[in-house]
Amino acid sequence: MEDSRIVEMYWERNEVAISHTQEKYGNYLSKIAYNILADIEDSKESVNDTYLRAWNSIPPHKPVRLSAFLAKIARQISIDIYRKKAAKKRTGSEYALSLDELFDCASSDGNPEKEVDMKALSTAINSWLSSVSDTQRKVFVCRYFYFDSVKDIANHLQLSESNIKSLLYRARLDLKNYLQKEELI
Amino acid sequence: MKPEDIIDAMNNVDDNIINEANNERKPKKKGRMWMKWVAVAACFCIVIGAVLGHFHFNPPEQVIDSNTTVNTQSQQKNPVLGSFSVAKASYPTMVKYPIETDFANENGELDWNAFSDAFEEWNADAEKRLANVAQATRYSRFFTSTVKTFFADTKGENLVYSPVNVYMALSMLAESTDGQTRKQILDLLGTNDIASLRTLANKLWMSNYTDDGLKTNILANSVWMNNGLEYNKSTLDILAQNYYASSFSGLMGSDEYNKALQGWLNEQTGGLLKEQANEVEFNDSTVLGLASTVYFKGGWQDEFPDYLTKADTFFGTKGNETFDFMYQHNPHLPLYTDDRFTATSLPFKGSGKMWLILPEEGVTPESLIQKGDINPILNGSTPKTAKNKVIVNLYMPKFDVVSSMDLIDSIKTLGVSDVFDETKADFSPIMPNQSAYVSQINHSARVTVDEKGCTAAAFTVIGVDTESAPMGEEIEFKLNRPFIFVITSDDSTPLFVGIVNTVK
Repeated sequence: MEDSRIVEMYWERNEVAISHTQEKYGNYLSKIAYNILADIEDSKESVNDTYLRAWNSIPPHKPVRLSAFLAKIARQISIDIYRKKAAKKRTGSEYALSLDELFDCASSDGNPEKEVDMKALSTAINSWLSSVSDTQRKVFVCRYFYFDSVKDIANHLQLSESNIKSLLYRARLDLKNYLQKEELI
Repeated sequence: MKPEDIIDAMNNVDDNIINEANNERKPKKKGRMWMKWVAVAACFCIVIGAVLGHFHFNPPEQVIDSNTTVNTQSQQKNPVLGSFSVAKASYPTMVKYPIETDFANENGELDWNAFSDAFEEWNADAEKRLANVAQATRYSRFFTSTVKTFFADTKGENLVYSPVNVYMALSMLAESTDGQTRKQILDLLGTNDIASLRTLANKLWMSNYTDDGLKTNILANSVWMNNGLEYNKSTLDILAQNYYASSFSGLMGSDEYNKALQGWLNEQTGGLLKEQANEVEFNDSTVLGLASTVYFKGGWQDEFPDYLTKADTFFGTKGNETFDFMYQHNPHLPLYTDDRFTATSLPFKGSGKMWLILPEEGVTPESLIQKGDINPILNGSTPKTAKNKVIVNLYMPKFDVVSSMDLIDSIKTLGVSDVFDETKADFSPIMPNQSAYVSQINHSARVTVDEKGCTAAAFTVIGVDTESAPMGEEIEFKLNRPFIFVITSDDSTPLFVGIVNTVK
């Protein structure tokens, strides 16, 4: 079913919208949740909350790209669960690995507690992403938005794993420089 | 700033950028599109050996009628299967399912017109075959009675049985016998006369044999003869035409001929039952062998995501053991509940399905079978107690079960006796001058499953439930204790029935 039709059903308050969402995007959302949480039960909780939150936010929203809209909700909910249940061991969570990777490019000011202007940071990341090569952008988003494993990204883009690792490394350095120039770090 | 801030800010990335990346997030295909559907295979074989009665060992040299008899003085030195071959069955050809990559033009774009023409051709052929579909209900008495008898005592072991396979083998046995011997077999098979059995068996064969590239369900039959003995050509012709049986001739009891038999079984079962096939042999008192095989492979309509597979405990008859469990969260699976069991069915791509029947705690799979709880499924219908609007959280162990059994005692308890009695067995339709009896019925079967698929066959398009209410109750369906599975084809013929008492 077309995304636009599903969104219309949300607007009509037709509950069937949720089962269509589940059918079309269930696996996609489960994968995002699982990349972050590395736990089936937690991922289920997250995906179910995603449906509920989608139901509550469309309307007023009228997403043009439903997949991205849902991904952001699932991603945010999963990260929240991760932080709430921080004590839980999540061996192999791609999210945990991503956090480690981003450590270098985030903390150069030596003051991790400094308040961040989230709006400015978001704008900067968006414009930086628009300035890099297509491949670099795709790899960066796959890794730090979807939290896909390096192995998966390598397979999806038909590149070697070491290729992906060095692409990511250079992207992080580049982002760090960019953020420094923008005086965000 | 903390790494978390970058992560959080990433949630505000432009939707188009997210979409662009997501378009790449698909496993890249290698080779043909449908290859990934075909992951595992299951199959089986059954061999019936008819052994010469001790009192009547007179290798007859006289020819009854040169037109109706095949005198099989043939080659026996070459261990290669082909050298024993008398007649090879010619199978119906099928229009192959079109492969997208074959219809790409130079720019890599799909030529839709050519593809859809090819698809229409495949579809018309498939529908023609479906028009031939056998009614599972006609065979239901055979299915339910044999399942009940064969599974009477599993001794806590895994057991796999293929009703359609044994039906085929016993049909050939009925064709080869006459009088009371044949009547007892016909009674078990649920028919009154040989002509209607022939029609039924041929329909069953036609509606289950599938080899169109999309899915594979291959049934094969063969007749094994001894050098120097006479066999009635008209019966061999019937077996060839109605049962697509190939025929072979060689020296019974010789290593070469046994190797040829084992080679044929392995070839027809894709090597899945090597260990079991290599134990099957004829000896020098064997005068006739009848063999049937089924080979099947199919992919799940909804695959299990690899990354959700994880180790868990199976509480089997051999104690608690840890195995890999696959998981899927599926709002489309039906669910049937009862005081004594819960059941669901997992559709294959194209058609057919695997039923999964989980007894309630304290109920054994064996007792479900004995009390007839699963008979509706064997008879091609569904349990009455459907539970609507549920989401099934299915946990299924990656099982690989295999079993091998001799069916003689079980078949005797089902009322077939003369064929096992050298003083009563009547094999006149195939061997006019030979006294003989059945000395072995070896039935071996194996079923394996993984994230991509299993093994089962034929056509059924499972209707996707478009009217399901959203956010229904979630049901945990965890196959972590002994359970039953039934693989059915599109005409609901049970292809395989098994009890998983332990995963490996």
